[in-house]
Amino acid sequence: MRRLKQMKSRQHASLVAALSLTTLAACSERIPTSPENDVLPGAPVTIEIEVPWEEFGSALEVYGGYGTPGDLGTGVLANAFAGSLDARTLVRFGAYPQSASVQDTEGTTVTDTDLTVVGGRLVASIDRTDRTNDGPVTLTLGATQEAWHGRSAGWDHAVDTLGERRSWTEPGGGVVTPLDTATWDPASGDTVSFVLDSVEAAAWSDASDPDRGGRLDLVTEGHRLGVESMDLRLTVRPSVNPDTTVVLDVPRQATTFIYDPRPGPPSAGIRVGGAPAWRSVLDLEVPRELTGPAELCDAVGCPVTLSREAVSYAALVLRTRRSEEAFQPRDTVGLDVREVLSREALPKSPLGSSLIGAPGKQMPGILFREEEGAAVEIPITPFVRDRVGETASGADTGRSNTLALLSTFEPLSIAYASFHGPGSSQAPALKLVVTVGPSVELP
Amino acid sequence: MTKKLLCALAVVGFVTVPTSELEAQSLFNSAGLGRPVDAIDGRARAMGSFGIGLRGGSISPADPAATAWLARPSGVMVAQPSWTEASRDGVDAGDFRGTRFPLVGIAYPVLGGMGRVQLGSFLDQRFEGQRTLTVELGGTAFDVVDGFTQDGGVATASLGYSRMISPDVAVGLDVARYTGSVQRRLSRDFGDLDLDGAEPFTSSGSWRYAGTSVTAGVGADLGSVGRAAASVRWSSTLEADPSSTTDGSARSFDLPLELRIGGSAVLAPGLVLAASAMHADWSDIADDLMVDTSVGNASGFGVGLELPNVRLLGRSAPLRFGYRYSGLPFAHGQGESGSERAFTGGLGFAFNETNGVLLAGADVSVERGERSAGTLSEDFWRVTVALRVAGF
Repeated sequence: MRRLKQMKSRQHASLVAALSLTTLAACSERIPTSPENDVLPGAPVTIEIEVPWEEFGSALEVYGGYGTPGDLGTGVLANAFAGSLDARTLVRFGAYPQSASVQDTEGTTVTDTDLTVVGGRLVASIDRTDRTNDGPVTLTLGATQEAWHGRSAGWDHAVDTLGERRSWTEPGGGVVTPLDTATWDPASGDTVSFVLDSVEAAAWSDASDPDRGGRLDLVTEGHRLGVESMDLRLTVRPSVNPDTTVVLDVPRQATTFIYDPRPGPPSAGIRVGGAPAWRSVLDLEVPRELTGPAELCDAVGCPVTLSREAVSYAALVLRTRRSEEAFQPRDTVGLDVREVLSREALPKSPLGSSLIGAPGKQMPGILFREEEGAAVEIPITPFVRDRVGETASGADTGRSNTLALLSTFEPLSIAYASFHGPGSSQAPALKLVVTVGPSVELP
Repeated sequence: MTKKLLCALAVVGFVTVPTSELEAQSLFNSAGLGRPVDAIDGRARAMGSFGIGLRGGSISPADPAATAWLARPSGVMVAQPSWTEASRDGVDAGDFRGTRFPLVGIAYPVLGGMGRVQLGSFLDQRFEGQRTLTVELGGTAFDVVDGFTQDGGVATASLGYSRMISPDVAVGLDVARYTGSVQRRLSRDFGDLDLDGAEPFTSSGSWRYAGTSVTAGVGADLGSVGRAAASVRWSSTLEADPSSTTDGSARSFDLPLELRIGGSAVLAPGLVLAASAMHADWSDIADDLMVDTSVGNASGFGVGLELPNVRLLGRSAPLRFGYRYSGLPFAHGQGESGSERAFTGGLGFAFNETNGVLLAGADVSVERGERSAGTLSEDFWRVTVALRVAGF
């Protein structure tokens, strides 16, 4: 009797489970999608508007001096490039390795702390995308003879810090002791090596010597090329096995480049990039009402008060300008745009987060050389939507209407990007893609 | 143990089912104010009935008097999964599925009769739509996609009372508030355009429904051979109030007077015939609609058979069959009238029955039907599961 009752209970439970499963089977919703277009609300109108500079922009200013070439960690070489630009790369290496794991004469690996420097090689890697030469160029390496500061050294000054300013004994890095000369041919690879003998290599071994360092010069005139890195590879003889030599890498302590002449601020237009970097700052007033074009007015009636939701896309449209030849970009230029949080605090105002995000607006260098006049759109949709939203709500949030155009990293390169400014036929414009429709109503 | 389990399930259901879920599904949800969904249980569904005139007691907004025949405190929860395939001009127009809970109710003896609280479905409005348009930007034409989502519906929350006024006659009255809300959201996606950081356009609105209805019903046992019942539901206008962030306007919709009649008769021992009909003329709402919609009558009829003496696993398990036809009040375009037809079947099962009184049971129905209007057609499977408990 009890077994019968248990069996029935199990049957009942099974039935409940089956009913539950049946119900749950359709619980993952698949919503009906109506094939009827006429059940959708009226179609919004999407139009593109280009607002001229005079109606949205003002207070364009260019600021320079952000960062130093030493922040880049790369080098630049130039010799009378574009008739005027000279650039040299300075490098300083850290303390030499004091020990190495080597095999002794018995074949056992031991740590040898008694190493004898017998020579070395300085290997420079050339940036193939940032060069003006197609054929071989000659480079020379020398040893600096006076103290210099990695972050502040320039063409005229070996040290240029807040507490100390000291000129080179000779502009351009002072007098150097020649070490080696080499030829770099783009067809042969990316690197060029300079040989150091034991005395020359040993001269850089004293990490406390502020004079030590190497200077790389371009001998061939009329070119500019970037140096991605400079590495020192020491050749040492271990005491546990004098019949062999070992190559050791020396850590780099500072790399910078010095150049002359420094570009002055532009007389007009927008400049972004360079080392130290340039920023361009402008005020932007988003239109509150639209009175055209006719297509928009026909659809929803004019004037149309802009709402946050109506701004589908907003971008600054800049037209590229040929940069000063010595500083024309050869490589891709990355441009960023950020909100200036306090215009009054410029040039040191903090900036908001990137409106574009990594890697910024990427523009080929040719746009600032042969193909000047190209239109470049810098999307600023969130910035414009926020400002329109504040206007519509009447809320005064005290937020800045100032934008800064800058390179994605500061500094990014000795080269800079130039754009036409206000007052020219190619002045910046504000491109808006606006979508406006009738309000959604019940059927 | 089983009884406790069922009671627990029922209680959980009562507590967790929100009013806004009391909906069903169809492409006809997108026409006019949506598609009416009857708040009736699995037994009525299985017999093709409009939920009125069936022998025995039940909790049914369509038949307020029927609660008077319940002998004990009772509760019911109805779940309704459905699977639908749509076609347009004979061409596949998609398939969809979903589960709704059209009725949750509880009845308790009070003042010599039975009082009840019910949550019931009324109009299902959930659907999505899409259209592709061409926009011209900077002299170049681009395709953009407009997506539209409507989510929500109209439900009822009612208080009712029924009592026997003679040994064979009962009356009932329900007073209900229309409740629920609808959110309508139109969005335009610029994903295919070469615009970095473009934001989709959205425009939306939400409305909360309000209104009142009163349903009165009477039922009478015709000796031992059958039952006859009738009910009428009067509704105020259905008010749709926009939220504070909605640009769309407030609206009012005329709702129809709804008449239902039904009866059942014992044709032979173990064989019961049931028939019912309803009429609701929605034509007055046409003036309240702003879109091109065909408005008609939601009138219909249903007939069915019940074999109450069938047993399964040693328990009473009445077998039921039926057919049901009903008009759809809204159809797309002008001049189209929609209807729904379905063959129905199902069975009941008593989990716990004492002295002929059902304390816990389930009624299951399966419907295979078709909805159509003009060139739009839907084939559907609809399962209705009603869990009933009594004597708590």
